[in-house]
Amino acid sequence: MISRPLLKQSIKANGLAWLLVTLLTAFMLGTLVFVLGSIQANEIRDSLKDTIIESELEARFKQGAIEGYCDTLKTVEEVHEQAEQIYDLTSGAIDAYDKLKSLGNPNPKPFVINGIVAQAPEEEKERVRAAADYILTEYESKNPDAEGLHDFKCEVVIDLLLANMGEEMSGETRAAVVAISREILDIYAVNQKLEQEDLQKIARLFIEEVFYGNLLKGETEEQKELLSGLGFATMEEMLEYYGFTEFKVKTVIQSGLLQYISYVNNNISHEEALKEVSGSLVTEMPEKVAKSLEELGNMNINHLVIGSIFYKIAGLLLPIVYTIMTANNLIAGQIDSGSMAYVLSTPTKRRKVALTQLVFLVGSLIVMFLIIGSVGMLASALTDEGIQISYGDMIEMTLGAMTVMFAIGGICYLASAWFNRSKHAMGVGGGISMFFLVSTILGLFGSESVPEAMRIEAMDFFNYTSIISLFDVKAILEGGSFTLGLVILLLIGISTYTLGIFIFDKKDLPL
Amino acid sequence: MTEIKVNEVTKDYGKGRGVFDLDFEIKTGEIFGFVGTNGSGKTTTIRQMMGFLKPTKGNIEIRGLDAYKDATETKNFVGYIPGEIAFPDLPTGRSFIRSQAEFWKLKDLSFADELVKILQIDLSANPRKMSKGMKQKTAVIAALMNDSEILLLDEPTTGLDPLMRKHFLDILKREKAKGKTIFISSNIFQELEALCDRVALIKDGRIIDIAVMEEIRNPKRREYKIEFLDAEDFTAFKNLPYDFVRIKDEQKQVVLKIDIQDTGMLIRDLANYKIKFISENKYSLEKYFKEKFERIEGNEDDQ
Repeated sequence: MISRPLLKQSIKANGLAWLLVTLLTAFMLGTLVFVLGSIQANEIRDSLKDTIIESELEARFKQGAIEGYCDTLKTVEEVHEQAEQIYDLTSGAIDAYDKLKSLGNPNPKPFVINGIVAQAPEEEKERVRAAADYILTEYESKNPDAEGLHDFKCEVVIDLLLANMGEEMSGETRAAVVAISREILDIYAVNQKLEQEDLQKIARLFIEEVFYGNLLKGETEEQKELLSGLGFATMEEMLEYYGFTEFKVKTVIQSGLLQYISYVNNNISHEEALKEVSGSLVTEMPEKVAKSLEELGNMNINHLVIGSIFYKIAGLLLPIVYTIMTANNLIAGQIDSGSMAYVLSTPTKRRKVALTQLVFLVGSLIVMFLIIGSVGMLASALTDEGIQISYGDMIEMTLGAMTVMFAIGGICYLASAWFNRSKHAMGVGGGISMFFLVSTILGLFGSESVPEAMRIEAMDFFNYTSIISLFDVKAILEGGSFTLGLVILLLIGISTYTLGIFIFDKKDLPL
Repeated sequence: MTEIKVNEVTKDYGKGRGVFDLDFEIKTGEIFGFVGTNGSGKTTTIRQMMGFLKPTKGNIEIRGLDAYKDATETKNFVGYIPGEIAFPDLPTGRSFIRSQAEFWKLKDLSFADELVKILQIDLSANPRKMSKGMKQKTAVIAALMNDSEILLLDEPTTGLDPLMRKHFLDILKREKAKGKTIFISSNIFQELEALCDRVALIKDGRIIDIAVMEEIRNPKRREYKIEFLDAEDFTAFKNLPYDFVRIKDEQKQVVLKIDIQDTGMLIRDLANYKIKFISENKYSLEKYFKEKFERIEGNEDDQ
């Protein structure tokens, strides 16, 4: 069946290239496994994930702050008008009171009240009277000195404001109104006027002050969802994990708010400004990002690197080059140079020659991948953490790569048996093999093996132009059926080898 | 006994290339020369004998076996030197010879060793880096080492220096003496002339003629050139009834043809005259084929 001297010749002629390719590829896998097993590649993934979440959190903080700011600004504007009116009323009443008192009126209160009520419009008279009465009653009882006058006025104004604003108000809102009113009145007392910028500043500072505290409470639905989604029990824990100190949060929202305000002041709509400032990946394309975050969480870098990159691309490159060269050397090269004449001038059947060369080519590829796979498993055993790929999966992937090489070997072998010139055999066999490999590289970027964020869907097309795709590494690693593809690869191999033997047996040889 | 029988073989490559209607036999113990210019079809013929090419028409029998269908069996008694020498990728000439021996299942390498001595080869060199002559010698050993009864040699002397060519031709003569049948192609008439029993001339894929070397080496009619010292002798002689080819008056020279059995008569006649010299115009293969060509082309012109 096989010619021993010819097999010996083939081993001598191609052994060195075989050894080199085997060692280099085994070294490549060994190193990969070693490195991945040692540095814990998943840490990379986690830190990548953390970075995304961190920026996402920042965006949410900014968004929350801006929403809070808008509400606050409304309150400020509302409060501002009333507070000014009431402050004016208070000042007027006190001034009139003091004046009459100094003129010697022992009880100026009724006069002052009447005077004020007389000036008020008809429908306001009742309310104004009550207010003026309250102001002066307080004034008489507290009797503040010149220094405490402003504070006193503020107190009175705020009391009246709260009474005006209504019945049901939460303690929180109440405190907010009090704080805001005080800010307004302080400025008003000095400037007699508040610009829009002043109102914005008041609202902004208020939010900056209360935001972190509110955040810590973690009460809203949204916040609860976020916590459970990221796997934290309390907001404090989460903030600490991602390094959000109070100061950091404040800085983040401050910059967000300042940015937002400046946008709005430059006539940019609220929606757009909000998007500009707090537009995160999630708000831009929530579904996609959510999905890719989820994928990133599930992704195993070792699977990607060892499976899809090494076993389907990097680890095949040198063996394919070896196959192209060796398949050519075994037949076409020897016809082209004429050295085949010596074998065939002895009583050696052409079919025996073809079969011997086939056995060498396939045998050398099988042994090559046995060695490569063994080195990979050895390296895995030597690393502490390991690469979290079972030996069974490693063996299956090695067999899969062997099957791919069997089929590619068949294509190169057929080309070598078909053509009498090396350049044609190598051009066709090598061209097709390399096309498959390059297609696989391009297809990787469109395959599900890479995370969605990095994926270019259209490039998935290339997975349909390469027979290497029949070797489904993902199915081996993550469960699924992969035998059909390998059977097809085997059939491709068997048919190309058979056809190659047949052609070589029948064709004219220029020897 | 017929060793090689070429039956109406045509290998048509189209556009007039190939060989056409070859039909000849080579007998046991014969050295059969095959001469022609480059591209005339010598190699195509030998490759069909080796079973590397399948004839378009006809077949070749080697010892009754079909050269194409039974190619493997015929190799048991055929040795071959290919026209283009290229060796397998092996480290030394010796490893190549050993490898060939393995293919032949040849245990005894004494004959190969003897050839190495005669041809003075250094077999420790890498066969791919050998000079052309060295390669040729190595190829000779590979072809002869199995002591095959039939040798098919495609321009085996190319690349050999004159001395080595002589050694090689001596080896072939020895092989012939052992009873080997040899088919040798060449584009050098002289070496075939001395060696071969018959020589076929091939031109544009067709055999023009097959010359029997014995007839050329020892023709029945020979040609002599005679120059006389005296004008009277020259005039007297040229009136004798010989078959003169040329008569040159100013040189007092005649060229004549004479049947070999009449040579005695010529010598007796010449004894009566003073001659400056007499020499035989040797008949050669080249001359023979030249005449053939002229005749064929003449015929073609007539048509």
